[in-house]
Amino acid sequence: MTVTPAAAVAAFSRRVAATSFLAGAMQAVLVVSSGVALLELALRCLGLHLAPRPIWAVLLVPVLAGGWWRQRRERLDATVAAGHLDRRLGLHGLLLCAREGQALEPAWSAHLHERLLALPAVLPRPRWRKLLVLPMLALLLAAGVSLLPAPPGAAEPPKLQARTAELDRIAEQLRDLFARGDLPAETQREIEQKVQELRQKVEAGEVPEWRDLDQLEQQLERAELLAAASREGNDGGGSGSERDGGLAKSPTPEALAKTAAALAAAGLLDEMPAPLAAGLRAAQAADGSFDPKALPQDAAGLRALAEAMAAAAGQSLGELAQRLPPEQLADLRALVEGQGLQGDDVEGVGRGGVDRGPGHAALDMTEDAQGGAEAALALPPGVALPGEWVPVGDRRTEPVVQPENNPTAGSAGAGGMGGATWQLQLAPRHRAVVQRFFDATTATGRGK
Amino acid sequence: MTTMLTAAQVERGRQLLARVQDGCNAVLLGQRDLVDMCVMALCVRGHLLLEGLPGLGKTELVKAIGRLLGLAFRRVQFTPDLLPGDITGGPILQDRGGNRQFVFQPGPLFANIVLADEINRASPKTQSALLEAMQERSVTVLGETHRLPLPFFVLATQNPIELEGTYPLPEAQLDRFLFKVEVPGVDADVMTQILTSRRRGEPPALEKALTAAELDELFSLVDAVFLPQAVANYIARVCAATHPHRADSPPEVRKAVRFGASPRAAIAIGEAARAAALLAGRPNVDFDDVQRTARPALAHRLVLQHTAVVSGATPAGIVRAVLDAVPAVRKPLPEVVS
Repeated sequence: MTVTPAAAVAAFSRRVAATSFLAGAMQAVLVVSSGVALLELALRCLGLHLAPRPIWAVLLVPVLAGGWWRQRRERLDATVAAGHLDRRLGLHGLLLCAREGQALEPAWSAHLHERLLALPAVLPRPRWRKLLVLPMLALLLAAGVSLLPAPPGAAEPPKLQARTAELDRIAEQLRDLFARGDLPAETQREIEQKVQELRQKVEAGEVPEWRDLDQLEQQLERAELLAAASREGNDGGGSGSERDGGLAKSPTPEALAKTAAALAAAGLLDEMPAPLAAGLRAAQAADGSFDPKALPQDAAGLRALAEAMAAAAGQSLGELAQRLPPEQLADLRALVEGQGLQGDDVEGVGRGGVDRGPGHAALDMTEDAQGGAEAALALPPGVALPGEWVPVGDRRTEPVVQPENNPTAGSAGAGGMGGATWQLQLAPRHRAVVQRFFDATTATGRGK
Repeated sequence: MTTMLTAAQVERGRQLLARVQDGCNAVLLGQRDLVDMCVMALCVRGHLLLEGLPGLGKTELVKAIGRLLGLAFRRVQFTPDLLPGDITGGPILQDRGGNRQFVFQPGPLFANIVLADEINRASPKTQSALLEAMQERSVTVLGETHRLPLPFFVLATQNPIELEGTYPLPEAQLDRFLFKVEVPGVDADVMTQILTSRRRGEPPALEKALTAAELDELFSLVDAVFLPQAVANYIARVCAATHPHRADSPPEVRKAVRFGASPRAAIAIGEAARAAALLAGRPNVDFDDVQRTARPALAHRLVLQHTAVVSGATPAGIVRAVLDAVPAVRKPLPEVVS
């Protein structure tokens, strides 16, 4: 098989380019591996751990870029490659002549082709030891450090902690709803699957978006509300407010019994419709507690009872705060709020309060603070507010004159306060000048 | 596409060259490299400057070349009182048919081979009289230009500059010599051979080695040797590296050289390398031919700093450093390949 000069030169160039690419890539491996190892060690010193993750495949990009860059930098053009190959084959310029288009006599041509047969033996060989030793050592070091077990106390990054906690909370809420039968199995499966996907992302080291978690929670709430609405529909309806808002909760006999005890303690049973109040009294035991079994057991009855109790308690929650223990007050307030009502002590929207935003803050519109500059001043009875400033008094006083001695009198310069010149102290350098002036005056008789 | 020399042509060229080489080697024993340099210079019609102490055979070598080539040969012994007109010739008043007129009388330059013996013993004015002859192969006297016979070679010998009564050749004059070859001394074996084979040091009688036609053929063969572009680029880079103000010059050059080699030096190397290639039996010039001819072609063209000369730097050493520093192939192989 004959090898043409052009093919031989091309093969030579390719070999050099491939080796250069490999060298560049290995150089990048050395740098990247060393960096990863150092980072890992530094994190370990800080008690953290960076476990290997699929995202680390991104590190291949600098490796490939390094190879590409070096290959471009060390690429040989055909003339240079021909020069090297010519020398390696011992052709003494014959290959260069052939490449430059010189017509070779058959004898020279045969000589050229005979030497070109030795091409595989003269192609450049990578210096594997120089190429691989350091990068491989660095790679092994990085792999070894990364695969070491996590140091004790190595905590997950804070971002992942928060998201994991949120996922756990959603999962628990999901389980509770499903256990109470408030959630269809299909919806539960769907949400459970999404929770599972997000949990897998977290375990893989990825940080899920808060948006996903919020969507999941909203989906959960929506499903819950839909389930509640559907249940109400099946029960034959309910109050208008329940159908519209869907906010009323289904009370349980036990909860109502407990709340009824608080209502009785507050003396509000009489505020309820008479039949319901009578029913409650019938269920009341001697110790004042209420038997849950004696209360209505159907949902509609319970709801009617809860509404009546809430209406009775909601009128005077603020007043009850002084009379009832906190636990009973909390039960009543929960009942009132559970029925979509608000107690008279709650500062909600329209009651001078704020119920949205970062925190609950009551608005205080009065200015009854005492002693402030802006404190209101009451006018005497019968005095109208003047339309313009009017004098309220007139008196004359003499100005108080308290002359003060000049504390700096006699010091140099007298501080610019107008002290007598003869009192001024002269600096030594000035004293000589003054003395010369007066001496001269005396000597010439000018002063006389 | 041009056609390179065939193997037969190269062989023919080698045979012709070998005849001249054998004749010279018979005269000058133990100086094969020197003889090769002389033959190369003749093949490319370049002028040659031989430098060496007296008694080393410089003049005998040049005389042998003259006899071997069978060309018109003149010898001029340069002395301090030699005038330019003594070598170029001049008008002489002659009586021709009753009319007396100035007739140009050619000087010793009008020959094919001129041996300028001890050229540095003449004054610079006389040395410079050779400038036009060497470059344009012509002589101008009183406004008349006279062509010199072709081929025209100046083979000069000079004593080392340190000897008394010598004038250094001007740079412009030196630049016109293709090679400046230092004639080395001979060892004891060669000296023994000289003593036993030569009575009173007389060289053997020489026959004419080449006819005029063969000499023309030899010239044409040398001219047909192909100079690849990569090799030409190497010559250019070598010459450029002798300039001290270039960033890629070796430190020896930046430190010691005042003026580097001229383009004429690159031309000289290229031409001489063709002869070297033919001498080696190749139809084209190789990097090795450049390295072989660069030292004698470059050394005398470099102008060194005075401080460098005082500190012992030599042009030959500078050229060696340049050849070591400049890679034959423009871009070296990456270090990760072997």
